[in-house]
Amino acid sequence: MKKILVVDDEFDILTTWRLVLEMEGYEVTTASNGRIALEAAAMRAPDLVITDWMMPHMDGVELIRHLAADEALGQVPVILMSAAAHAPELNHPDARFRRKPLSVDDLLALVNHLVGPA
Amino acid sequence: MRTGVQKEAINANIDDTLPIVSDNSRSKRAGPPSKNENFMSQDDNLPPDPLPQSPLNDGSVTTGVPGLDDILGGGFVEGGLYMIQGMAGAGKTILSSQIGFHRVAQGDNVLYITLIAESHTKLLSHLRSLSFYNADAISDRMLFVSGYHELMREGLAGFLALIASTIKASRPRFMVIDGFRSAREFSSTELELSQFIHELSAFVSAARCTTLILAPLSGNEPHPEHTLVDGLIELNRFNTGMRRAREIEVHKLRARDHLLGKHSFNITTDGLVTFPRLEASPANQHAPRHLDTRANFGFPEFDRMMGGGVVRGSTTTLVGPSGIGKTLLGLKFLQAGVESGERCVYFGLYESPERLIAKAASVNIDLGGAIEDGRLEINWHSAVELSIDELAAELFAVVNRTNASRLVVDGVDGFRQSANRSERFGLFMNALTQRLRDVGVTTIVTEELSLYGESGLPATLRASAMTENIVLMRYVEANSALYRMISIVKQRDGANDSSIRRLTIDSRGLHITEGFIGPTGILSGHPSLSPALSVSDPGPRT
Repeated sequence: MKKILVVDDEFDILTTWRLVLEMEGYEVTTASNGRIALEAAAMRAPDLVITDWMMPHMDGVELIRHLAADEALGQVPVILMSAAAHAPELNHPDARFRRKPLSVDDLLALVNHLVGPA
Repeated sequence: MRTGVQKEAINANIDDTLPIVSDNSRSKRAGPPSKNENFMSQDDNLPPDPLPQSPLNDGSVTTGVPGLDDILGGGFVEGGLYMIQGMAGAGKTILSSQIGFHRVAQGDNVLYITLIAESHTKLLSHLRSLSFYNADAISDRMLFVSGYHELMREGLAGFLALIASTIKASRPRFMVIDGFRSAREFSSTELELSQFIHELSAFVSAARCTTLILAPLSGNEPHPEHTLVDGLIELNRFNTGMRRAREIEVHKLRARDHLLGKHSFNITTDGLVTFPRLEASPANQHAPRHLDTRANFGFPEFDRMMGGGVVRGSTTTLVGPSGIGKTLLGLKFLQAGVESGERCVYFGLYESPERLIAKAASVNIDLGGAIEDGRLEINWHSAVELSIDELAAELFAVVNRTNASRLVVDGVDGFRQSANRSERFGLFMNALTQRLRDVGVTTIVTEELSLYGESGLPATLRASAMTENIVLMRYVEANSALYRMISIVKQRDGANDSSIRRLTIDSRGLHITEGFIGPTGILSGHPSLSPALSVSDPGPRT
């Protein structure tokens, strides 16, 4: 079963993506900021990280930088989602930016493209 | 996580002297820190700010919301903690985001923290249609974060630690906490909430981060939120008949001479636009200007009655029933102005510009040329739901824009109908005429009088009672016909003709002939003798 780590400070978004991805058969872990996400990823490496940008303690861009620098996690594909108008510069071999709001269909298509079905 | 967060917050440079996020924060030691003991003096120890800060000013944090800084007596105090309250749909979120984007434009970093409130994506998609929205600022100068998880897991102390660490990291100078109701619901006692607000207040003061907390409350109750914040601003709605009008009231504002009472506001595509009550504005609290030249009507017979015209800067009411010729006399006044090269404004509430021009042309008052070359501006407002202060704001906007020296406000009753609370009309008119005098404009207002008998309105509700000069126009019934009568009832400066004269209107224009001789009580509409016409009379109702 493919493991997906979803990171967002808004609990309603975490709930939504967890439900959507679990219904597709993925195993979902959630974290409410970059720091918690990093700890969770270190404990159990995910196959995909979906993260928000603006979060307390550690934002999504910093999380992605930490992931890229990590030997074990550096190759895990990442989706950065944000309401921000412009994509930030991402120093990561396999990261992409998506504007919020993202539809369920768009998210699932992207997830499927990146890691395949559950 | 909790320890980590708190440690980080405590270690922040700005927090060296702040016990408020430590475990001791619940102890008496934290005490009630004075709001004024801010930590500006500690600035020397701070690392250079990563982003430019707003330039030093008098400590006022402007809102950029039209009219609101006047209501607030200049703006918020830097580092103050303010509560914006109002029920759902009152406009709290729009107001606070509007101020947030304004602060970004002023060079500040802004932090928007939500608890259980509208999601960030929804919030931003709703704000996107408003003109102040700046997509480039999001994530760069304006951060949106949720404090929900910290509040859920660690309560108010955890939430405060989150605020502390986020302020440390992004150094905002302006912060909004949206959904404050959740914080209230998470506090087990009122005391805990009081303590949280007290600590928050001390922290944002130390960080010089002006903060708004948004809550769905109403009224000025003895809630801890209300007593401990530096300011309390309520957004509300006022019901009058089927109409609902938005109102803003500052219940409390420390260290600011704010305008007391309620003021109306609108929510437009530019966000909130507030209209400070004209009569509450300090602009009216000085002695009125005195001007001693006169403005004539280009109507020699009438100008003679007025002793040469009306004093510049004064306001004159033309009061009379429908159809008597008030508008035409007003247009004569404007025509005389444009002919001598003055800028003139017609501010009307009833007749559309096309009808007005046609009406003027039918009595030989040609205004077309003056409208074309900009000497005359016709500003017409259809009878929609506008507030009286909004009308006044538009009036002053057009007068200032055109730099007008002559103004006709046709149908001052429209102002009274927009007043919502009619008892303020007298003071409002006083303030209005004084402001108009201040900008150096000579004004004619027309006021409707009932066709027969006395007007039912008390003097305090009549514009004529508030103006320097009053011209009364009346129909007199004689020999089975109606005649127009005109008289100067009051003229503050200078002598005037006290006789009652006859006004006639025909295609050549307006004319004044000799008065009636003999009867009394003509202007009351109940003459005691049948009036005798003078020999030169041109016939009834021309």
